[in-house]
Parts: sequence; C-alpha cells; structure tokens
Amino acid sequence: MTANIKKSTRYQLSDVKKALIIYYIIITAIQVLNWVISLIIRSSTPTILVVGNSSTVDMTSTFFLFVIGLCTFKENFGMLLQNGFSRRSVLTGRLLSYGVMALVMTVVDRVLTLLFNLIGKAVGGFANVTAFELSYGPGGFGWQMLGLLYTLLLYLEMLLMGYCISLMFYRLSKLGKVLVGAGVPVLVLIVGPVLDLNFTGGKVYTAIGQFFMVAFGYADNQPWYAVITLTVISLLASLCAWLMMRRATVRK
Amino acid sequence: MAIEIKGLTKHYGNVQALRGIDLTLEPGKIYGLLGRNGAGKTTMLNILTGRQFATAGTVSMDGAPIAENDEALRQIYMLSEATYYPESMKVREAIKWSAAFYPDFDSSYADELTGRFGLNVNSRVSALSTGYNTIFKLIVALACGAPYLFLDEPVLGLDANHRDLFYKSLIQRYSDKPCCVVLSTHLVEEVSTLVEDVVIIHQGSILKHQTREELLAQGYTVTGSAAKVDAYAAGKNVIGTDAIGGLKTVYILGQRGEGAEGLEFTGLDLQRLFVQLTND
Repeated sequence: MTANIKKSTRYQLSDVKKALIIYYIIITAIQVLNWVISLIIRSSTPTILVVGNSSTVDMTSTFFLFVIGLCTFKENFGMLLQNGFSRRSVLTGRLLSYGVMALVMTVVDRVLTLLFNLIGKAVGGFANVTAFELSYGPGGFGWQMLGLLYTLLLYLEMLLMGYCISLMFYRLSKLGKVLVGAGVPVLVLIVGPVLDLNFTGGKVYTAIGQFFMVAFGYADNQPWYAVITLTVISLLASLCAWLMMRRATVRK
Repeated sequence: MAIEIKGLTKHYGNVQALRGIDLTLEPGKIYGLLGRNGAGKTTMLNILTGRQFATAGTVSMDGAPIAENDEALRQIYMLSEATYYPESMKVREAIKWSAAFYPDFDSSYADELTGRFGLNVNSRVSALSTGYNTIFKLIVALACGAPYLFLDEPVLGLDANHRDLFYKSLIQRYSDKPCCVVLSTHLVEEVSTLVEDVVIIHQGSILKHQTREELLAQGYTVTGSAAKVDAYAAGKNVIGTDAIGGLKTVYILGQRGEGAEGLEFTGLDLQRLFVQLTND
C-alpha cells in the first residue's frame, strides 16, 4: 500500500469518526429510553407484559451507512485533490475506509445487540433481533458467523450505494440531476407498475420481485445467496464509482 | 525536476480556454503568470494539478505524466481562489492534516506565520473572511515544503499590510528553501519585482514568455510636452500613450536611440507593458 493510500484511508476514516460516535450515543439513548418506558409501564400496570422483537441496531445502521455513503464524497474529493492525491488514491482510500467501518460496525452492533438483550432480559422492553435472524431465522455458531459476514457485506453495500449515488449526482448536469432525481422514482414506482399492470398483468414486476427473493436467498432460506449477491453488488458499485470518479473534476 | 507542458488545449463546449500551450516550469524560479480575466491562467493551473483534464496535450514532471501520479502531485501545492477544505473543519485541523499529507511540512513555521498574520486557528475554515481565508491557504502553501507552489490570486482580499507581509514571507521561504513559484495575479506591479520570468497568457495562448529584464528591455517610456513627444515618437512603434494637460507620455517598443532635449526617458513598467500588450 502506498503512503498516499494510507493517508487517504486515515483521513477518510477520521472524517466519519464523529458521526459514528454520535450515532452510537443516539442508539444507546433510544435503547435506554425503551427500557425506561418499559419499566414505567410495568410499574404502573404490572399485569401488562411488554414484549416484542426489533432489529433496532443493525437495521438502523444500514440506513445510517447509506446516508454516510451519500455524504462522504464531495468534500473529501476536493480536500484530497487539493492536497496532492490522485483519484485512484482517493477511491482506494475510500473503499478501505468503508471496509474498516463496515467491519467495526458489524462487531460493535453485534456486541450491542447482545448487551442490550442481556440488560433487556432483566429490565424488559423490546428484544433486539438481528436483521439476519429476522430474515433467515436463528441458528448455531456457524449460522451466527454467516450472519456476521452477511451484515458486513450489507453495510459495505449500503455505503457504496450511497457513495455511487452521490458521485453520480456530482457528475450529472443540472438537467441530468432533475431527470434522474425525479424521473427514476416516477418511472420505477409509478409509470413502470402501471404499464406492467396494463400490458402484462404485472408479470414483469412479479418476476423482478421473485428474482430478488432468490438472489437474497429468502425463497429457499439460503443466506449464502445473499452473501454472493451482496458481494457482486459491492464489486459492481466499486467499479461504477471508479468509472465515475476517473474523469471527475473539482467543483466548488 | 521540471514541469513540461506540451500542446495543452482545453475546450469548454465551444469556448477554447487554452490553445496549445507549450511551457517549461523550471525548479527554483519565480514565475509571474499574467493574463486578463478569462485568459486561461486558472484553467492551466487546474490542469497542471490534475483538478481538470486537458482536451489535448501533455503535462509531465521529469518525463512522467502528472495526471493520476501521486508522486508528482505531492510535489505541487496549488492555492486557488476556491476553497476545497471541508466547511466544518477548523483551521488548526486543516493545518494538522496538511502536515500529515506533505512530508516536508514545517509545522513550527506554520505556527510562526499564523502568529504573524494574526490568523485564529480555532476558527472554522468556512467562517473566515475572504482575506483570512486567503491567509490560511497562503500559510499552508508557504509551510508545506512542496517544491512547486502555484499561487492563483494569492492576495485576494488581503489588505496592504498583509500583502506586504505575504511578499516578505514568500521571499523568506524562497531564500530558505528555493522552489518554483507561479504567481498568477492581476496586481502586476506588486509582483513585478518578485518574478524572474514573466508568462503572459492572452486568449488561451502564450503571448510572451521571457525574463522580466528581457521583457522590460524591449521598450521605453518617453515623457515631455505633447509636441516634443509627438515629434520624437513619429515613425516609432508606439504601444500606448497617456496625456494630462500639455504633458504626454508614450510607451515605445524598440531600442532607445539618442536622447532629446526636454524629454525624459525611463524604462517600461510591467503593468503598462502588460496592459498595452493585452489590449484588444
């Protein structure tokens, strides 16, 4: 690894450090609030049992990381190009920093989930279940390790998707931004389903839905399919990011 | 370790910003990059630092292309009018990161300069006034230790005292650690004593590239009564005139001939020459 890639990675990691700390403070605060409410309800009406499942930590992290991906391109790109970094170093550093972030958050989220559940047993309130367990069910040690791998790849994919969208909007002209920003959702969520319903009786969208059910292993309860799909999406997103970044110019 | 620019061309749609620029920037020299608004100075510097892409032509350092070359890019620091530091970043952090990015960054010199210029390092970069924003970038440029400093509008928003301090600091930095400095500015007269070579860009092409002495030796100024000046200037290559009341000054290109009674002969000044050369 060249010195510039190391520096680029370190800088881009430090850039999200504060956001991560704030995020975990909020997550913990919400969990504590959950316990407090649960305790209040139980103390006032002891006959009511507050139970339920929630995949609070890792599902929230998934959305958080998508937003982080959306927010981490423009300023870093300008800052690093200002300071003598090539686009290759900027992107390589970005990918490495995302890898580190995804790994750290996978571990932290799992620890928090276990910790929250441990305290939750004593206090009451909602139990935390991982997104993996909600999708594919509980299992033994090997299954849990697969769950960690799934979470890691899901996090990485969300970061990269956010990054690619932000890069795409950076590269697009004003008209392009409007067309993509408004046109794609309208096309996919309104025009597409209407046309599909009228011309094929909804077969296209059903097929797309079934494809995703298979690709993410929901149909056969096969998380390995999801691992492969997430890996492919992450690789494609990295490639797209490079194709968009290699000709990106600095803009104010 | 020179930077070689060959046939550099840049189009923005139908607008031709650069038209086949050929130029070599040698180490240890201070260049004045002069040109009117829109002449192509910033575009050229942006391409040299890989911020923009050329439509045609090459830029190389020691024969290796600069674009996407970390080793070469690390040898250059460009101060530009636009600020690319994150808005929420404090000046202290920005200087700390610059020190991490540039291996020869002189942190104690940066501290000394922040004190001299009165820059508040606890301010956010986005909260700085135009002048202090320029000062912040100047301090990073002077302390970073890069062998190539491209300073695009380096005195933007600076008051006279700060401009004076900057010129002195630049000379000090250059004497302590000689480097190639490209000063791109509209304040021609202020930098005229600093620069060794003058590069004048006009409408995307290099109009002149000579040492300051060579450039200024190309002509002279004659001042006197209008009638005498007119008589003297007849048949000569007059590039400009000024007249106040009965007193007239003409700027002439060519070798100075015999003196004439009642006329005062002086050298050309860079700003006057620049204005005359780039008047459309």
